[in-house]
Amino acid sequence: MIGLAGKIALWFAFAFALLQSLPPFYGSLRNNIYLRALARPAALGQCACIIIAYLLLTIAFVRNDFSIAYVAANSHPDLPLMYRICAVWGGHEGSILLWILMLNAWTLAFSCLRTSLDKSLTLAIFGLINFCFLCFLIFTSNPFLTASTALTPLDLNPLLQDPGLVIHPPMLYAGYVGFSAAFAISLAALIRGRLDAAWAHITRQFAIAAWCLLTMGITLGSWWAYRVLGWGGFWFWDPVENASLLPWLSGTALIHTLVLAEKRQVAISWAALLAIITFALSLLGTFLVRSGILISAHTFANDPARGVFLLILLAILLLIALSIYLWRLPHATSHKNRAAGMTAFNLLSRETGLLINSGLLFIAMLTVLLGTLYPLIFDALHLGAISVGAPYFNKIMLPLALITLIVMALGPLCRWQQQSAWMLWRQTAGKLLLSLLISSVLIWGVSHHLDPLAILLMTLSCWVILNVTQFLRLQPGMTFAHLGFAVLLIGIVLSSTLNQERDVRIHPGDTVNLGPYEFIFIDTQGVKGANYRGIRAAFDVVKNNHHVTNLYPEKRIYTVRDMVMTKVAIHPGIFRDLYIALGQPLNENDWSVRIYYKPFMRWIWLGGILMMLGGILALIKGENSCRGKKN
Amino acid sequence: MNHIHKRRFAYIFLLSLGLAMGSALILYALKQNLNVFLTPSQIKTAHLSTDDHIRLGGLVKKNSLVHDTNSLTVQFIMTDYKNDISVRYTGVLPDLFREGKGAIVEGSLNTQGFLIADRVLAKHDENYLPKKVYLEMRRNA
Repeated sequence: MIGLAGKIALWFAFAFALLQSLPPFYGSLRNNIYLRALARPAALGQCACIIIAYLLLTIAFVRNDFSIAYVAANSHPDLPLMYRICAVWGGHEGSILLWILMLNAWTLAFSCLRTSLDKSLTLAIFGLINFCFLCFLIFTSNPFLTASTALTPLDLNPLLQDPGLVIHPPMLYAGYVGFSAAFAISLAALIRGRLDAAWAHITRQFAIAAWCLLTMGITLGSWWAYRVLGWGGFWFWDPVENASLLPWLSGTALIHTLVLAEKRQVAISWAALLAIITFALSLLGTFLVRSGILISAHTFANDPARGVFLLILLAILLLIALSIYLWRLPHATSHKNRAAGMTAFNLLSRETGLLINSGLLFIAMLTVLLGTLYPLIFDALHLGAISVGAPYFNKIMLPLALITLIVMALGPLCRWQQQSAWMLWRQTAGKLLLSLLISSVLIWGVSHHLDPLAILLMTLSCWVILNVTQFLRLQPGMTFAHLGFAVLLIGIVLSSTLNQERDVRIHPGDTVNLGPYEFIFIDTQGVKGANYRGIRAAFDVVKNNHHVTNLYPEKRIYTVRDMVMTKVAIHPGIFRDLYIALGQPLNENDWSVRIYYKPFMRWIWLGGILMMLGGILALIKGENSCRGKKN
Repeated sequence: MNHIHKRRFAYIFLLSLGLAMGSALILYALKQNLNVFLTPSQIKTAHLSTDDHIRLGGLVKKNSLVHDTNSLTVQFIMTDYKNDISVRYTGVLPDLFREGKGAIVEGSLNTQGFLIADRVLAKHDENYLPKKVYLEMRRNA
């Protein structure tokens, strides 16, 4: 019953998507206002249908309607209600439906906007993207397919049964898909030949909103990996993680370039190209995650047919977008520049800073892309199966991060058009010295060992913080975002250099020393949850004979899938995390246990939150725009 | 040369500088950090030296897992049903590591032909099998 209604809703959405895309597109070319006027009502209709379909699927999960194959594969009567609602996007089909729902939300947001841009053409492009994804959903991965035989409910993957899952995928998807708005607006502006300040302003607003959500999504994802995967790391350079980092890097470059495009009429074509590339990377990310062609540590359903479909989709969209870009670019930029009086700038100026920054981010994106796709290229050329190790990414990111930090420290201080090097030196040299002092003392204080690389990174991060705080009142958004990045880097540097870990074999009564802490293994007890049973170990943590906390790591067996899961126990703190993951029972008493002492771990996520906060502030304050009150 | 030309020149200069730097670094780093993915049969025939860092994919042979009695060292056999490789690893095994299931082991061979692993991965999917092993097994069957 629900399955049928859901299918009907999807087909209606499909029809609306067609109405939203083709007639207005034709109407725009022929200047037919009646056809153009179709775009908005069709978009609203489609949005309503998708919301209905999504709600129907949620109801099916809540009511345990196992006649639908997707529900049976991802839920179980014993699953707690919260996870049943989240299980809607726990599998492939549902997550694509969520993707489409997000796309519709962005379409809705754009259609409610008051703007001088060509709305119906933009909506038509939105409709086209929607149409493609609805094809994908309906023909290759329909979540409403009824089960041919009575299926036994398979339960949600235990790895996904975590509060992190409640918000992580919707945030990430909202961010991914949000760049479709920048794409659609830019493409419409290109076709109309109007890459002007109004275009840059609207695109930037949407790009910042998407960027905030993506930042939060990635932060939550790394937090989830840290707590659930039990390896104590926050970032593994796994293809699936890289897939979300690629649009983030390119989107960050886009936001910075759009400032130039809006305020100085500089680098307009670069900004438009970045808008296209960012969305293409979002699509590529979806493809990489959903096709399962890369060896990844994460779980995702693999089906080659789906991968091929997505790849064709990606190729077509990118091809169309790039040909429109190349064909329309001369019309869109040439006379506008002369009319707007594009201003020249010196090599040392804020313009250069922003350009270098976007270039660096773009290079970072390309290197991550190369590392991610290299195994695929190798495989396609029949050179053998390889994988690119995490050290590659770390090695590449290090120099890029160093240069980025220098540009971030100096760029905001520079004036538009030209800046005197001597003034810049006078403003910043003292702070550089101060940050060198701070970081040396700090690193010496905590580790009694001066690692030159760690000090260099710390110094530059502190320098960025010291330089950027003076903009707190004028540009709070930029300040918070840059602060966040610096805090993130400090967190990464300190947590990786000061990290201590031990794999031990212990039995109740044993004590393990790690850093200044003593971990005392007390005992183990059996536990039973709604859909799992397990063993809970009790640890007492002591520092200098003072009780700090008790930690209870667990080993769980999720009965339906017969899957073993480690539930780590973490004692978080601003300056250090204590982390225990239970391994295997080795004989009747002994356990293998992994214990971590991770200083400054929280700073990583604090940095992510600060960056997102910066984005939100920039959005509210209308920062760095011609229309904003300030600057 | 007016200012627009100067600026364009600066653009191009910076861009090519960045590209050159980037590609040099990338090639250097890539060369050092490739993990070659091999099956047990390929390891037998490949004449690897003890310096090579390899990534072995295969199945954990049934009843081959031996725990050391007083340390965390384990020993097990990886197989693709044609050839076997003994693996030694010290540390906590991942949750989904089971006998008869697929796994990926990273490390180097020692002089006796043992693979000394520094990392053991089990796919977070109980039905997972490394692609190459799967193809190999289908060919054999």
